[in-house]
Amino acid sequence: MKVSPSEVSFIQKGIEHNIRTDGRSRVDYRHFSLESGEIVHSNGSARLKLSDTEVLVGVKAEITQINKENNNASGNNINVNKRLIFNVDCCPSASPEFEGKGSEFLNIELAQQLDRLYSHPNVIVGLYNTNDNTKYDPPTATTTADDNENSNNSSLTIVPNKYYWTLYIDAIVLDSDGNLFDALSIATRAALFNTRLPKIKAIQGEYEEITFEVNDDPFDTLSIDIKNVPICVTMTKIASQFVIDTTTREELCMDARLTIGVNSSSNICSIQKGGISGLDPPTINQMINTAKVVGLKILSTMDQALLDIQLLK
Amino acid sequence: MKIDYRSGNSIKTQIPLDYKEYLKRKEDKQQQQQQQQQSTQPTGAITYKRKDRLDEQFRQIFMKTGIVTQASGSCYLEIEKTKVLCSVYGPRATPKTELFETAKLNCELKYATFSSNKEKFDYLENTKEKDQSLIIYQSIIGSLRLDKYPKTVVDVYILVLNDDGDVLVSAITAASMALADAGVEMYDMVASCSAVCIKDATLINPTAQEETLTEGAGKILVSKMPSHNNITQLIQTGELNYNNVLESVNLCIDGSDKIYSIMKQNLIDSLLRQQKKDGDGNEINGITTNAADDQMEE
Repeated sequence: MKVSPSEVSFIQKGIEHNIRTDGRSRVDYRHFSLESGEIVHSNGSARLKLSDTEVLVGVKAEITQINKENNNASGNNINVNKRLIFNVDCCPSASPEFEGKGSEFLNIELAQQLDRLYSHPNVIVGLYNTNDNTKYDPPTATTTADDNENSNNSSLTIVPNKYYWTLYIDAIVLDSDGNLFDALSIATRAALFNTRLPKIKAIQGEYEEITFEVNDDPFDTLSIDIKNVPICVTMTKIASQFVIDTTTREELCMDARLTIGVNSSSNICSIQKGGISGLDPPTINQMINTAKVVGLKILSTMDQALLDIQLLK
Repeated sequence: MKIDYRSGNSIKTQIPLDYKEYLKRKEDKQQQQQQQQQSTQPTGAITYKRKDRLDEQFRQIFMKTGIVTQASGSCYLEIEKTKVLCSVYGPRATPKTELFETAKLNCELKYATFSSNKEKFDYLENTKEKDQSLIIYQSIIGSLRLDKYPKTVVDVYILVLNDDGDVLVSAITAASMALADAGVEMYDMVASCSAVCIKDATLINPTAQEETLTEGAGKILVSKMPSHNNITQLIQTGELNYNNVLESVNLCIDGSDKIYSIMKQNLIDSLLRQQKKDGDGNEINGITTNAADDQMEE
């Protein structure tokens, strides 16, 4: 899609006057609808519709074995400390620009942004029992001398220093009308809330081997505590002002954007700048401040909505 | 490729130690903060004590332009053990770019297979390299006047020879130096600086060891065009509170200003050296030198 110079000027002037092409003001968010648990084969899923932007996120949990010897071998390319692995795919059906290699860099940018957003070790505070909302204590390491253990998402432990849950978070962009960063982060948060991990008991065999016993009751599962999981808010600078929740048209005439991750304790979890022109420090301060306010508002609305969904089920 | 004999080279630069003022400011701020609120420190779990230098001190930086003879411009940059080589080809014509109104910037970062002992890098570009290439691209594109070179392409290739932390900072700085060396018209050079925020300290210019030890802590990278006071790239990972973010961004801005002065000095030195080597009789070279000088002042 392309915009003509007169269209650009129309959008810019509108934003200067605090009214956008769809009637919103600069800091208005579009309505979004959230559905969860749509994909039956995944551990958790969510679909977000933000006006015409539509993203689908699926969470698959897998057991990863960590081998101490393998860790040190140079052939191992995967970061063994990572418990959350993100992958974003922009469908060519969403926009012809995404066809072939067109979405290659966008996919990486989106996935890396999510990765940055979840880079803090305490993103997932813990697990709780789905049925009675009581806290579930993951098995802790008996030997204390392990650095990796303490520094990372230890709540996803099955057997300390041996087996962990790895969550593969795959997002598909089905339709795009701007603001993909925010949409993806909100959908990911909802998908994590929806994720159910089976209860697993590890049984030490006679020798080294460990066998797993999965709980018989399919409803007796574990959920993820998303209290500390952030979402991101993208501030886009158009002309001399900045706006939130841009449409594709507005994105085409932007100068720069700043994607800011915010969590419920109003801490900043990630910042990423995009776009080609620069920003001056005072604007950045303002943007972060505004993002904090907007982010907290979205988080509280979202938490309420997620609770409602849970009660309905 | 010319070999760099470090012993004979005099332009090894150390950032002056004028951190006293900063430290004082920081103490004041800390006191203020303590009085105001005992806010929750999100990075509370991670502590690390730097031994060989101050928290706000840079490692020694060495840079030299004109290393690769075949390239239009090149720069070799060392921040102690982090070694980066950047070469710029172009602006040159390619059949693909015939229709573009502005030049296309192409940016590629590659880790040498032997650059790190933690990760093994293939000959194929992996996700990390692609992501970092994108970050570098976004940092430098704002500084270039690409509209001056229609129908051309500018290629920036960065090779990381040794990774001892702060690769992105070195790569961005080297790329900007190489572009200036190539004589690509630009508004300003881009200087960059990064910091790690841990419990009650902010470590500037972390080494690879510090990066791994503080994994999960807040990290900030800022790249900036100092004479425009424009921030061209800002990346943060890890959880930090608002005040911490602002403080470390400011610290990084200060740091990149310092790097910028070194870059400028190095560029002037290299031009003077070139002039001396070519002799005063060579007019063509004299003109190009002047032009480049003008450009930098701009």
